[in-house]
Amino acid sequence: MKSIQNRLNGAFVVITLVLCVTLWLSYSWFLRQTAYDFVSASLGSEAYVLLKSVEMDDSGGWRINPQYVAPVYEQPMSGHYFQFQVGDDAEWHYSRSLWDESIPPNGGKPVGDEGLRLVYKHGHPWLVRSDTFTKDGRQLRLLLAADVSHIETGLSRLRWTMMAVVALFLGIMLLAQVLVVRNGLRSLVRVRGQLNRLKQGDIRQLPDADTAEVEPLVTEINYLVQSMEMRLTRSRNALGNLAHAAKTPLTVLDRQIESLAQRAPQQAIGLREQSQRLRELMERELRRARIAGAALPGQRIYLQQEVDKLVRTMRAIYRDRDIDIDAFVAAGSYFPGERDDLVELLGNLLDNACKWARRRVRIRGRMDEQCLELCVEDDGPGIPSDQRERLLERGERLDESRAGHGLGMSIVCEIVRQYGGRLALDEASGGGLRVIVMLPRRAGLDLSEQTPAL
Amino acid sequence: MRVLLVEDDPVLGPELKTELARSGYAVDLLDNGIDAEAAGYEDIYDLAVLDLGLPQRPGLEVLQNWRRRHNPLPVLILTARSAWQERVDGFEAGADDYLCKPFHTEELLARMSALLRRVHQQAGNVGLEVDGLRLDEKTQSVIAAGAEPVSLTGTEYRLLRYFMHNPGRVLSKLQLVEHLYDDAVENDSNVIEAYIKMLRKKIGRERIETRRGQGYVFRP
Repeated sequence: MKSIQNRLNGAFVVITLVLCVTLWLSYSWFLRQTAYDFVSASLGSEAYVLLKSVEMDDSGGWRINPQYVAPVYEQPMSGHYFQFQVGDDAEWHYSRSLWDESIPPNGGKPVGDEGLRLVYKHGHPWLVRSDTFTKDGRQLRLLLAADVSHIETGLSRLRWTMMAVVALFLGIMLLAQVLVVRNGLRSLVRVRGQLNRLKQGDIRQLPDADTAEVEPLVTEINYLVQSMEMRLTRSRNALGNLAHAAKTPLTVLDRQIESLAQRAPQQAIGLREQSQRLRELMERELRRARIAGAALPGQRIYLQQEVDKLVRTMRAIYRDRDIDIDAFVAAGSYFPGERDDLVELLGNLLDNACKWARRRVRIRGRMDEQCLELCVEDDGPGIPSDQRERLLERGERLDESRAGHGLGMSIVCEIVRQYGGRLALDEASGGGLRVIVMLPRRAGLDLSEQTPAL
Repeated sequence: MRVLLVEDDPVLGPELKTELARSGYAVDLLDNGIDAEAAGYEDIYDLAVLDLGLPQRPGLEVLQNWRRRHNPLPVLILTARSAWQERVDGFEAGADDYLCKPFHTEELLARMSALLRRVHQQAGNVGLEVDGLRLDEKTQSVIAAGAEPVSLTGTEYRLLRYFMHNPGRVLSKLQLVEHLYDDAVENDSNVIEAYIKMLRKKIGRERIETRRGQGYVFRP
């Protein structure tokens, strides 16, 4: 996974380094060139002074009149040197500063124009300028050299200073960059946090973003959440309408079958059977289609509220049976899914329990880090263990005399399956049936290791 | 017992009305939510059978409006919507019972009479029984303790059932007419006197007492 922040910072460091190196290279080239030009110019003016001071000695040879020459040329290894050659005479005349060295008349690296060369002598860079004059009808070739190590030292010192400055600058800029980027990304980080809260159901919508770049994202997510909710509501309404549209004629049909049964019982039997099958098929498929199977973002369904409503409903339905329905729900437990699914799941479990119970039905609910656990038990006759498996596997109706047990159980199985939960049947302490449902709090959690705590 | 039947299906509605009438109910059939709500406020119905998917105003809203205005009319919801959330919504809105389509008429009739007994705080889950006098709803006959069943005519049955659901209450002739006949029947409250006379012959004079200028009382 790439981080926008790291990428921005990396790109910044690379760009800044390239920029600094380029700047340094061109800058030092300019500086060196300027220094060379300066040295060359001073050497040029020295050349004229020397030209003037070259004179013939008494023996017909050539010498330099020391009167005109700067003392620096008299000092050995002073860093300023010259040598000259007159006419066709191959002999070179050297300045005293050269001691027993000589300036190489050729070679070296040409720098700038005007025949300027850079020559390395014992590790020292010498800038050599050669000029040719004509004096008293004779050709005079003059070589002047200056030790320019101080320029290189200066440049090298400048390089280190500049590197330090650049490093400092880079550090400060990087820090500034990190702050700017982090600040810029703050609205994204905030949205990430808000998305988590939305998923948990703490908030129903993402609040408006304060950044123009993030705003469309937030708007789009809010729109998606809304349209998901609307789509589910719409499809549920459509199913409700379909149920209404299909079941009412089916009721009419059933009634006509019944009136036929009074006149011709034989003909009615087949019709009744088919109508019954059609009715069961439709009921099952409609109920199955209603299962959302996942939590809608922005909703938190508290268990207590829904259980309370269902218990009131069950008490109303089984008013004549005098059944005690007790509910113990751990405070703050919530259903990690969609409301109708929870109500359908619990409704079926409670309805079954009430149908079979003698006196008492108990509902318990609690939540831990991993899952929501629901337990519904009755004090009815219970189901033998070998038949429990069958009930779970196929949602089979075990007792045809009391309608709905099988269908209800198959819907419960379907809901638990769609949420990736676990369903277990065993015997309640009083001998009745106990149903335990475990639903993971997040998608993809494996509950097979989890043991029921209720 | 007069029933407000609200069902928009053009076949099921009239058919149900006929069957309920055969079982001794006076039935007014309405096919939309707005009329149904208005009718529910008239103090002449003992029970409403309400469909939820109604044109103009949903049945659930009709029920909520009744309950908001403290209308205690017993309501049995008869609907195709069978999801538990919808049932919970129905009961939370104030329904007394909820029956899903498709259904059998016997089941509806049983639920209706159970609901009526419950509303009038009468125990028992087989039939209506007041002080040794039992009304058999299936055969529309009356059985006094230790005696042979005596069959009743349709109007006698309706009259006796209404009396037995309201024992000890003074019932005026107008009240009796309102709860015995539906809108379609032209009524003269004087016929009530004739029916009371015949009923007294079958169950004994002392059971129904005349309060001059007020009406009649069924003595428990």
